[in-house]
Amino acid sequence: MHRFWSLLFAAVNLACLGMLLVAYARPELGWWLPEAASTQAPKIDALFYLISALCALFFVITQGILVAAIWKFPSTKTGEAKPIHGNTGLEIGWTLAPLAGLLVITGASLPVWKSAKYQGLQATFPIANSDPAPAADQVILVTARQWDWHLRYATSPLQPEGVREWAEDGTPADLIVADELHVWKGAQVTLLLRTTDVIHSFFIPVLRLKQDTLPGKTIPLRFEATVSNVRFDPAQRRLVTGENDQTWEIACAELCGGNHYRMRGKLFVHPDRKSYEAWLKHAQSQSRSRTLSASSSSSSILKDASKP
Amino acid sequence: MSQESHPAPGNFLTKYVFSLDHKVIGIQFLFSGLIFWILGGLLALGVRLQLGWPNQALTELLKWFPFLEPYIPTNWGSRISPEFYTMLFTMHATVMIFFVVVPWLGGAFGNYLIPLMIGAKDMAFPKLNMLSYWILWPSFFFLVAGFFVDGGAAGSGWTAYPTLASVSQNPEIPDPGLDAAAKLSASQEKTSHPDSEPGLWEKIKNRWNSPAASQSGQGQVYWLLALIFSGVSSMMGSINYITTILNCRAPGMTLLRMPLTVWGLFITAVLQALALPVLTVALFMQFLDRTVGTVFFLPPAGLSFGNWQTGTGGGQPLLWQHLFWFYSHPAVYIMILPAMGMVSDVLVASCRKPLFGYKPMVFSMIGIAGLGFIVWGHHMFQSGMDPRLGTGFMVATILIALPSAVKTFNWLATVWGSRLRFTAASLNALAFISMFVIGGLSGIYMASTPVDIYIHDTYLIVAHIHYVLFLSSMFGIYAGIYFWFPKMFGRTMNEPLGKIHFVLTFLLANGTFFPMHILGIRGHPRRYYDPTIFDWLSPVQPLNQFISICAILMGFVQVIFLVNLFYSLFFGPKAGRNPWESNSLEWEAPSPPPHGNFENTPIVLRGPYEYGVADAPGGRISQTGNVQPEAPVLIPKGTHA
Repeated sequence: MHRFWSLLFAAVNLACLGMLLVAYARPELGWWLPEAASTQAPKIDALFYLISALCALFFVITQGILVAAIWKFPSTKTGEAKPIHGNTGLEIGWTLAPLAGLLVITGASLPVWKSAKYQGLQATFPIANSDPAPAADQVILVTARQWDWHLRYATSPLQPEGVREWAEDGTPADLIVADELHVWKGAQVTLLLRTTDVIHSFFIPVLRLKQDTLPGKTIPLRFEATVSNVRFDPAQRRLVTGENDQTWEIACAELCGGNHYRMRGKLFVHPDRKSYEAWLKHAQSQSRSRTLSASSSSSSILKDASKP
Repeated sequence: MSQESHPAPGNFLTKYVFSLDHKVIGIQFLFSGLIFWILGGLLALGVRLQLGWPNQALTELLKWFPFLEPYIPTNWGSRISPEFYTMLFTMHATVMIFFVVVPWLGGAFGNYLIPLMIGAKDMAFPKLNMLSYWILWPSFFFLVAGFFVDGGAAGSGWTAYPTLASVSQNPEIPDPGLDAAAKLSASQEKTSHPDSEPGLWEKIKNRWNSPAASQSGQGQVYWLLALIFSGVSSMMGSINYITTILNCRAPGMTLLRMPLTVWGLFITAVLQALALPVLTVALFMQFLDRTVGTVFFLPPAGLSFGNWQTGTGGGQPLLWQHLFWFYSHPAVYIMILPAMGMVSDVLVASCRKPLFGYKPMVFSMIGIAGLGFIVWGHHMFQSGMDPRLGTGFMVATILIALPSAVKTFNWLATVWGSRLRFTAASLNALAFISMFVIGGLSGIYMASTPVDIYIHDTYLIVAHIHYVLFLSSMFGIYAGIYFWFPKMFGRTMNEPLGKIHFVLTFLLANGTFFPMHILGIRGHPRRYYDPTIFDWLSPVQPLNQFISICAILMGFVQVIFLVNLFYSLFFGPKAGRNPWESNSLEWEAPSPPPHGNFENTPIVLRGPYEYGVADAPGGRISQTGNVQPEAPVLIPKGTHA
């Protein structure tokens, strides 16, 4: 009977590990990380795999010992167990070994965290005594509310010192769009996150980007997209499929009420600045006839064109 | 101590209801927890029903339970409404954390086992102990009543983040909410007199009765009250446990001779005593925000919900997160340390071999508790807190994996070379170790701040918390119930039924919670009513269905446990004093122990883990046993019965 228990533990653990391996090995299932489309995404994914490798090692060792121990040492075995109360050498060993692994993870995490979150902070609200971040190519104010995202695009370049003022006052030339984030490949994008009501969280899976919005605060974020999925065709005056035929979604990741799940937005990465500016011009001409307080359903300017 | 002072109970009421006896109080906690365990489980199944089949009309369910109409509105296609869905997961978590796991580990096992295991006659403060149970009843009332008030129960998550939880909307402004269920409460609005300025009480009542644009109506106030009372209960318990363990140990029971169960409960009590006041204060602050209109969590400029504006504030929503997690992160350890202790004791008794590394085990528990106080910020990496703070919290959080790893290796070394007895109790304890490894490892992903950017608030955290709280703590509780049931009730539980329950729960729990890791890796956010509207999540919908099927089957399997429990209570075979041939003090008392526990005050001569002793009868020496005459009898100063 003890063999049955040993095999049960082995089977459950192998099934768990196997499920992860299947999800990893067969990306066509869509059970694994979505595409990585920003500069920080591959860094985060690399960390993810580093942690996974160390965890797999620990997992196989510990579960292996447990399964083997259940197999080898049932009460039917003759004689008493050896009354061992401990072993200092072993204790030191299995304290230091995981510590080494954990320090590796910490060391690898620090620079990625710094580049992912300090940069945005640096670009908008400079930290004393550190290198200035490169100026932003695009500044977009994202205002969350129940239950959509309003994005205000600056249509002319902004100096870092001018960002705060722009966030407060805006300019008449600004473009306001609901639920659609347009950037171009390689652009240094600064997002300023705000909310009018409760906490939301701006989550773009393919960019590995997530940041809560906090009532009463403006939170800066910086990213750079590396793959484009859409292109503005001036002849057809609409968006067409880019180098990557995919819809990339924006989601809310912090509970914000009953329709939390409905805060679905879309990310459009243009191949270059030209395509983006053509879209911007088009969108501005479309929005001229609108008021800024248009309701969420009708202010989606590219409603028809949004399916590339 | 005062444990001498309370006489044996005279009548039914003082014996079984308003009892001062720690054993009866422990069993009271056990059975109240059982009721909420069933409620919490049903709420979870509601969540799974929705996630597995998001567009399914529940017409049959409505036919059987017509009172569910407000929650499964016919004008919403007889489907669970999004608002009800938020209540389901909010109340599931609240019930399971504050009304099942905490009262079971601290209230039931803590009360029952501490005096017995340290050789005391009762708790240091028996009346405080009784009060700690009965103060839970207002808490039960508010928790359950929340479901029946306007707008239903709290729906802002068990974390109750402001401003979703703390702002109540003025009832006179039409609700901008989009969906049917939000309007239900609006139809029940009380009409206020248009001419007269409402008085203070009127204003308070309006706030309480407000329809919730933010899923936080009156139910949220009830939720806050329920948690305040349950916190007071835990506080009384923890003061009592600390005092009892420090002052009431039997002669010879030094701190380092205490079984690990007592250590786990002791450290937990210290954690609770230090952290709970912070939560209680935060709960009061939110209560005041909601009822009398303070603005602790309202930002200076105020907020606008659609067309409705709040007044100006002056507070800070992030403050709540700091205060809440300052308690609720240690609470994670409050919900695992006693289980770790219990599992160690069950395991050693089943292994017939001493515990490997007693001192490292104790020190690693202390290490977990100590570090547990400086890691709360890891819940807030993406909250808008200064990212430089995140760096510090990451280092502390990653370090906390270390004592957990040390514990795991010591458990494995305990099992290695043992003579394992396979009982329902020991199997659950072994499963605890195996599953705690998975739950611990998935935590490292969240601790690494950059990876957390992606997986924060996804199903990876749901998988992680359930591997720690269900597959670890709950399996520890199963192990504890199977193991100490004979002591509590003088009868043993049915072993074959126990093993069937174990195998099925073990398989189905993994079937339920393991695929959640995959959902998390995909980026599936938690607390989503209907993930299928997202293209990138549609490939994982079959997994969601698989999870739901496993969860529902697992719900049915728990009936085996309940049947076993109640059948054995009355018809189980009689157990002797020591059915598991265990060494610790509780097994020296009769089963069940009488008022005052022990016939004679036990004199403790050694630690609880003397197994595998070749020349001793049964290969073991109990804590009071004196088989080897040369063993020194040590009775330190300061311990007295």
